[in-house]
Amino acid sequence: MKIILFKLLKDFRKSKLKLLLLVLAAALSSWGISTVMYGYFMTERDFEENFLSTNPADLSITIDNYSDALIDVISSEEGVVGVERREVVSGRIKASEESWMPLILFAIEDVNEMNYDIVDILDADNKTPNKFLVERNANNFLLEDQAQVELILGSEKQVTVFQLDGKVHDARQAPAQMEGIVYAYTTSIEMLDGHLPDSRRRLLIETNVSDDAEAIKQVYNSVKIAVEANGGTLVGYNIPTPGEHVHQGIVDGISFMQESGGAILSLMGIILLSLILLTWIYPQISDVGVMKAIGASTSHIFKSYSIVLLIIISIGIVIGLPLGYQTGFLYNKAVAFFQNFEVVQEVLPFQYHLMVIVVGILLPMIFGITPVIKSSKTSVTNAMNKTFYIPKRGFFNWTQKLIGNLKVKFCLNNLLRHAQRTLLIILLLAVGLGLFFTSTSMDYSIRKDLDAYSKTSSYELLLTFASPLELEQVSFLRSMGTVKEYAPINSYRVSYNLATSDHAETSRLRVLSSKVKIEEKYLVRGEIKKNCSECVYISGEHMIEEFEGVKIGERIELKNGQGEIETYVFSGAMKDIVIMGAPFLVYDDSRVSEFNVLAVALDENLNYSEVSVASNQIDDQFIEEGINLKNRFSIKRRMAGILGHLAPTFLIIKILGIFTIVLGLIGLVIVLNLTIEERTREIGIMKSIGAPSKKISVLFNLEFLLITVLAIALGVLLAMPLASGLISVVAEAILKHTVPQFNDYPIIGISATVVLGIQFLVILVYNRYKINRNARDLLDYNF
Amino acid sequence: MIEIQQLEKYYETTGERVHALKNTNLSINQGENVVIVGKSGSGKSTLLNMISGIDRPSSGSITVNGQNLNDLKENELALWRGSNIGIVFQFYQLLPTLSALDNVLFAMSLVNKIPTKERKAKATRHLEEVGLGDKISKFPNELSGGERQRVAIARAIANDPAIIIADEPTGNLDSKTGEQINNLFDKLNAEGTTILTVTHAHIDHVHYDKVIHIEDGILNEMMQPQTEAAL
Repeated sequence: MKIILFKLLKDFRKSKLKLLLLVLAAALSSWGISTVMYGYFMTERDFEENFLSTNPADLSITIDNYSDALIDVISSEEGVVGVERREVVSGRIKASEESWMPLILFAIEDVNEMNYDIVDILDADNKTPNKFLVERNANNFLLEDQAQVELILGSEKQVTVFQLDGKVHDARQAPAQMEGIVYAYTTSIEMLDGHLPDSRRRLLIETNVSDDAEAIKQVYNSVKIAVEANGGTLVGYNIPTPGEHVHQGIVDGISFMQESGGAILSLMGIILLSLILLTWIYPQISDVGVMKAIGASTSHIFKSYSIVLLIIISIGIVIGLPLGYQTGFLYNKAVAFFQNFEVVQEVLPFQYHLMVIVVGILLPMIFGITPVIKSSKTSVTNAMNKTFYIPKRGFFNWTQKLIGNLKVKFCLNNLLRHAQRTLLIILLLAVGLGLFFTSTSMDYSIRKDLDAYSKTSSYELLLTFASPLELEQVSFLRSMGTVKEYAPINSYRVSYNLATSDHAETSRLRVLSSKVKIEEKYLVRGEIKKNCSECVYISGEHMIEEFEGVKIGERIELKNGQGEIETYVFSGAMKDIVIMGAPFLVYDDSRVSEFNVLAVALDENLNYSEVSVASNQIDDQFIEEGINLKNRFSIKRRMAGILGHLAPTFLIIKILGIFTIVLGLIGLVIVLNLTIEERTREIGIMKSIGAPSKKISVLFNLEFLLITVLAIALGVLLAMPLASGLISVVAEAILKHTVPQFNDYPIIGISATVVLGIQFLVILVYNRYKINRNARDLLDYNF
Repeated sequence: MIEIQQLEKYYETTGERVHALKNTNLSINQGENVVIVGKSGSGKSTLLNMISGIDRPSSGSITVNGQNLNDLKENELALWRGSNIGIVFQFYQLLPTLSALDNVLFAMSLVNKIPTKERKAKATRHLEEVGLGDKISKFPNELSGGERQRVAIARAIANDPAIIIADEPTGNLDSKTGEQINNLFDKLNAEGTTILTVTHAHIDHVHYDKVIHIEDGILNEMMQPQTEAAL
């Protein structure tokens, strides 16, 4: 066996390029495998070190008529492990002379006894009461040497000033720059005295069923009963999805991309490895025949080839593993950014590397061993008479009868000559193109959808006020040139019970003035009746699903904040991501004389930056009028935000697609090179019987055109379900509504043309340097 | 028809110059049946390659049918060859992915000399002439050595060339098949085709108009077979 192994290794001296390509393919597959595995290991470790170490609370509740005795009541409830006060108030923070940013301010009960939702106070001196700290990412909005901050908290009109003492790292919150929100913390609740509503408190609760959202809900139900039995009123609650970060949707998206990317990379590497193995082994089949004829056994040959394969894969691992580690680390850094995590820098323990190495060897070995087995098992006669292998007599005969054109028949027969190789290269190209088409389709579909919303939405701005207003108070808007029209809306919290649910759901109802327009196209059920004050409409994908069993015309009851029951007639359901921003909508002019939301339509000719300027001017004008604007929602900004959130996802898929297309093209060039090499003598024959190089090139072009066209067709077929699936994942996670899939045909056409162009170009180069040679040299060529 | 003047061909191998043909002069007339006889390595195949334009001379000139081959570029040579010369290689050199019929048709389609409509009938007729009428759809690997050689001959005559050049056409064949091939060449020659054959074997001189001996790249003798027979 040693001598066979020695011969195989020595053979590489004659085909150094093939050895290099084999090693590169092995490195590629190892790179893909290690990227997936290292990325997973690192993100899991970071998640544990960052998010889980904050000990996230399972449940937060807001209680009206709070008394300290309720803490003991809640603590003694079954399933409750611990309770801690953590107040939160929203507001605005002055970021510069001109602009105010949204603010969420948390108040910690005891900075040295934080048990849940723990924040990391970055300066030890600040671990004392009465400090005002901001999340480290607020740096993007606040001045570096800022000593004081100006805040407007809750529904207050006056500005509160705090000394800015330092920073914290809160791994539970998304980065401020992504949300456009400043998170801040006081190290004692007393600092917010006078700013919090009387007798209303927020509590964090840890349960003994942390992993089960349904079980947490059961605990909440019993806590609610206990609180209400002891004089308190539970006015709000939140159960974060167990074990999930606030940006889990985006992270899952990136993880999906990374895992698919790594899987595709390793798949491509493995396909490429198999492809090159075939090209390495094929010319050696006659040698196998000779070796067998002079006494080598199948087992000897198999073992020798396997050892060579193992050596190649091992070299691939030496190259691919460090690359995979770095790629995994980069991916992990991106995930850490989205989750506001501190990246753990320590090298992973040895056992993780061992796992990567084992998988990195096993996977390519499993796939790469097939050509080795095939060639080892070849009989002496077959091996020594390799001329033209007819793959399937029936299918082959059928093609011979079907195809009349001699050139097409010639090309097809040559492709069938190495059917396995042809299939691999088609697959390789198809995966690359499919992935690229998927990314363009996703990008195109989501942009088109958002664009449609943006264009058809009647109101650019939705302004929410801290306290009710009357129309005269906003009459100054009429004098603003950029404001086209505005319509009042009254928004308040409601709760409702569905027959399909055992508990009440809390939501918001918006009472609309009849001036508020809603595009009929968004209506998926029912019809809009503006003069019907008892007709209620629901909006948003989640609500549409929830109300699926409710018939149009059925009565539904909503309980308002005062505990009164309002009865409406269910009249329709509409799609919504931004239209009116609330699940329940009712038209009633009599109830908007006082309003807390204003829908503002701007001049439709304004572009994005002009809208932004106009929106800021309106904001400033409200401050000047002494009106506390609680929230400002801009559709264009929302669109830009969504696209901004999605941009990395699109980019990752696109890069992955381009990368895989490049790999596919590398594969194509390898196959083309091999095809021309092994058919050099046949090129010589063609030249001898009268074919100029150009005609021979046309035949090669035709042959590879068949490959590329099949790959493009397969790529499009692959992209359809993949894009549809990914769009629904992304739309569900980020947009919360369904987005129809559209194909970006011009991009598909351009990329297909580019791939074909590259193919023609490569053949042109081959024509120049390989085909356009002396007929005798070609005939004498030994492959 | 074929005029070779002061032809020299040498190859550079590992720094050493090997003289394959030395100061060769040769003249072959139209319709002649000529044989070049020589041992392995004597330069006979090189001479055939020069005449067919498969290889280029180091110096000297070859004129075939009034065309100086030195004036043609590589692609022009291929086109010229397709229209003027039919080549029969020692090892058949068929395209393995095409059937016997398609191999012949392929040669026709490359040259475009025979009208498309007539090609299939003509190719079939050529294959019948070489005794392969029942094997036209067989692929080269399904044919015996003799059958492959006959397909190669059918392909060589596909475009009605004025000259047929055959390198050891019967070298790998049994005597009966060899005889059949020789008869075929005689028939073609009788129809006016110039035949130029190369062989290392003993030959029946009466078959040929001209017998040329080659040794170490030098054409030693050139005589009419009748004269040679008289000696």
